[in-house]
Amino acid sequence: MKFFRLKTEEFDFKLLACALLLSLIGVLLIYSAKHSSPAEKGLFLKQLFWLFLSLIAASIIFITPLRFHEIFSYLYYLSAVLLLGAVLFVGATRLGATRWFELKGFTFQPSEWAKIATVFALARYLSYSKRSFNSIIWIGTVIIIGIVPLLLVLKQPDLGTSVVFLAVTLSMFYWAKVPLLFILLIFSPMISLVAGFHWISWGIFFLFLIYLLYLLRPGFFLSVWVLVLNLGFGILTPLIWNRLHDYQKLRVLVFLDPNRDPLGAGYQIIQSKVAIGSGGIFGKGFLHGSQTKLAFLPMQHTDFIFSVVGEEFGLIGALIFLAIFFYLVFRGLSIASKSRNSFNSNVAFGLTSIFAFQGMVNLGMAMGLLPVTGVPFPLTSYGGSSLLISWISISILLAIHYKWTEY
Amino acid sequence: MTSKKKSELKRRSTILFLLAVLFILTVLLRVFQLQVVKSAQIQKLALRQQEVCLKLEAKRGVIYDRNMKILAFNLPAESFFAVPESVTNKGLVANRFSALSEKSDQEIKGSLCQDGKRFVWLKRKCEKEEAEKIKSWRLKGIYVREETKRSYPYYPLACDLIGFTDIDNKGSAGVEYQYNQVLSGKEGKGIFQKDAWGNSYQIREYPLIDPKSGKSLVLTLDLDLQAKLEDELKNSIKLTGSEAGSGILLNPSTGEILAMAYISKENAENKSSELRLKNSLVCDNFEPGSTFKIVTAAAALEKGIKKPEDSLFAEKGKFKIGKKTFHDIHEYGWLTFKDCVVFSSNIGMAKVAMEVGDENLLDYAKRFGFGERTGIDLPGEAKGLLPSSAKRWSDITTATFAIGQGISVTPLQLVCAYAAIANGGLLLKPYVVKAILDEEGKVAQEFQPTVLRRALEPKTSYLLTEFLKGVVTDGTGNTVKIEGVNIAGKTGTAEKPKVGKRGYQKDKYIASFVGFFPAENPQMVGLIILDSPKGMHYGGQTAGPAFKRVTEKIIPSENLLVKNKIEKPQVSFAVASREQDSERQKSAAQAATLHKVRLNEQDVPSLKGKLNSGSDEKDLTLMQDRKIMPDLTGSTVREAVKLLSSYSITVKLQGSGKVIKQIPLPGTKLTGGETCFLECKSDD
Repeated sequence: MKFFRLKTEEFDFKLLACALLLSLIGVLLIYSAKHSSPAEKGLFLKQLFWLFLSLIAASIIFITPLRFHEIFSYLYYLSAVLLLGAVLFVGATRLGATRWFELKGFTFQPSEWAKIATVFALARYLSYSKRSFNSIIWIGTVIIIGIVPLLLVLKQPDLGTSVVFLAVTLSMFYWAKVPLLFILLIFSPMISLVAGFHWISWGIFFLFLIYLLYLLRPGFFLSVWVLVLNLGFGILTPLIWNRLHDYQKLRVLVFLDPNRDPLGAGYQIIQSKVAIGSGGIFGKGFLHGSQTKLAFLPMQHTDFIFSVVGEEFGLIGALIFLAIFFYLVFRGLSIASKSRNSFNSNVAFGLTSIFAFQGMVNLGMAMGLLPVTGVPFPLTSYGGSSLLISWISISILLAIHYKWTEY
Repeated sequence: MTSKKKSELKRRSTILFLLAVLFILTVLLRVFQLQVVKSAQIQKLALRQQEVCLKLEAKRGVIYDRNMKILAFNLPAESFFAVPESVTNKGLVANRFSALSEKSDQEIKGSLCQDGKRFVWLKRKCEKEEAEKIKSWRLKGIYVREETKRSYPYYPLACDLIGFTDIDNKGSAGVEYQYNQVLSGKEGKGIFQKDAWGNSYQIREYPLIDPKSGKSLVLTLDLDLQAKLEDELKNSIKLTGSEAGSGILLNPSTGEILAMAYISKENAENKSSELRLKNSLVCDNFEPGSTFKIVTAAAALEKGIKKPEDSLFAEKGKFKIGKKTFHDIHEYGWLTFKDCVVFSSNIGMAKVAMEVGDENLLDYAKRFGFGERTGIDLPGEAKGLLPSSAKRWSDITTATFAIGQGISVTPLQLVCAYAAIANGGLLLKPYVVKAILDEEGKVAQEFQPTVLRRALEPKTSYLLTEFLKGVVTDGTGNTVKIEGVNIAGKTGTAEKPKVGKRGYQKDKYIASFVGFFPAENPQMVGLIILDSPKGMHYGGQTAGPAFKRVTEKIIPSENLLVKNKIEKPQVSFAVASREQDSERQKSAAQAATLHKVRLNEQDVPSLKGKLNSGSDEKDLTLMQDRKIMPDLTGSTVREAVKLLSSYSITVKLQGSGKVIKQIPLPGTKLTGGETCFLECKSDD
């Protein structure tokens, strides 16, 4: 039975190798992080099982024609939105967040699926729509496709994942060749949200925005829309800030200065930094990370997996790990730019941007450069849904590379 | 797709590529910063949170008496503490524990609620029963820690001398304080890893530093003697109505303290068990009165100013010197110099003192060790008070000095001075610790008698002994006389000075008796002081009988005095079990050290006669001079051997040249047949 024969010269072994390495390293790290905890000792086996499942899924996806995904793009998207809606009602709640469907011990996180579904939908719209980028309908549609899952995920609440949707939308705009200043205009309300903390910074930004409108002249409706949104967000921010609870304000402040609350909100950042820093150049050796062993970081097998790398394998281990990851991202980028099919190119870029964004946010978080938002490291962190979806993405990237000549 | 479109994408991916490189650089910089630049600092931080250093208590050494009776040891005890965070019912905890300790409900609750407090002692060192009770409450957030508690099985015997420890087992008074470093050993250390929940694990990289147990002490103290002394002091306080009584027993040939006690009226009535920080016999000065007359007597004899049989006129009981009139109890007429001491004539002694001269008086007082610390191994010793120089004394000063007024001494100094008379003229350093034992009970260090100086020529000490014997046989101390044993001693009655003011309290006296026995071969020097006896207040009437009763109790039970030649006396200590306690034989063996005079029947014939209903009583007027070990240091080997040949002594030599060390010590009374060790060293 030989219905599929692999043309090795067209297959991206490098990408596959990177992905496999990251996944296997992940299993080892999970083992190390939990080997001294009797209750969670077996987590690496679970991850290994998910990896096995993911590889099967990836193989199936690989042989599925890409056209198939193109056709079902909107359907994927619709199913994702429905699942996100449903999980809010019937999902399992853990640690105050409702993110999972639970069935006989297995859990599935629909937001993971929503990430790639959104990429498909955006890729489809961007490659089919005949409208120009300064059409308000075009911009509006793209934004809505991105913002619906974003808001649903935010409601769970899962700030980290919702930011991924923002990043994906932004990068898709970029890949759709919208001028950079125009993208800035589109996302200016977000900047207003941040600048609005102080009226001077917001005022300066608003003046800059008016200059931008004058420069780009995007048309009356869009201009008014941009101005209104910016005014609204700018005024809203201080109002919202003042109405935030103290613990919510604390989270923001603790991000800026983790030592402010070393046993509370800043705890994880400090512990992660301590783990990475105490590894030094050569690390403490596999299974010898005392910070890990002594459970100072409860999330070390998920969001803070990089701290295990840093502590046990030191600077050298961290550099190798980072090299593998960035090489994977570059492979993704080159696939996106190489593909002759606009939809495929968009999809490849979107998926790569998810990898890149999640990886960077996760690293920044583990090293205390970014706030703790709870984004797993793709392919490496513990988590079945995340692993499965990451492998599906890898598989699609491999397929796009394999058929890069397809129009 | 058009080629224009394609090139635009190429441009965009290049921009992205550059952005990615920028990000990589940021990440790398950060990794470098954390793992290389700040690594040392961060590692320290990691260790601080991952490791906990626990101190491991060292076992404190045991204190034994000279017969290996246990005076102080450690009992396991349990201490309870709270970790306020995990205490659920603070009110209940405060309530329960306030009933067990002096702290009030509010105080405990206050410390439990104090911000940032992570550890609060609730009740320390509970006895088993109490500990079980606390455990049965099953309160949350209360934990137990094993500790040890110092225990004194014979308390309050010798409590001032032994001292006590504080709640952390650190010596606070007495021997416990003085030898704290020896006793306490070295704290152990254990570095444990602790996890985020605070559980600790021992780890291989840091082996446990075991605590080093403290060393044990063997005191010179004899608990039996101590008990007898304390009993008699209590008895005497009741009989005489005194405010307090104190006493010392000391071995005159070694300086070992055999018993030392201060008993207050409250102690005697068993009303008070207050722990005293101060050992009154070492730390307090008092005006000695007539017991100090030996200084004048010794100076007069040794300087050849007076012979014992020289006569003096005692002015019929009244004598004016300057503005002050001196009195005697009886109106004596002509007295011999010896009788002045025997009958304790103030006037006689004052006259002698004026002949002796101020310089000599002060010199002899200093020779006896007055005005300076004896150097005993107990804390807080006082010096006493002598005039700083012998210049510009008035006649009154000279006269009062002679009779022991206007100066002060510690009881210990007085005993040491009399020991010097007893042992042939050597001033010894008194000491209470005989040996230090290591953990296995082997002798780690043994303390030897220390001769501070020669205070008197042997001849003078012999004459003074005769004086003091006279005091007991014919004089003021005749209440002390015991059939069959010759006691030499002196009574003292001093007015009690006002506290913080000049002058004396009306009708308050310090009565004392200090003496040694048997006079021919003194085994023990004793001092009894009674503070403010009611009614009869003379030393001879109050302290004298007390001294007699103590002596009577000691003599029969201490086989010491009739024990025949002891084969190879050794100072070896096995950790004695309680069963051995009754073996009094052994104690005698331990009492005799190389330095100590060994006994011979001939020396104590009268006593032997009494105790053993013996037959061969001999008179004691033997050649005293031949029986005293001469001071050989500085003489050549040849001289020394020649000199010793007239003694019935075996001489053993070590080295050559001049004698630098000798055993027995100079002044030791000899019984014949001993071996004398001489350590020699050539001059060059």
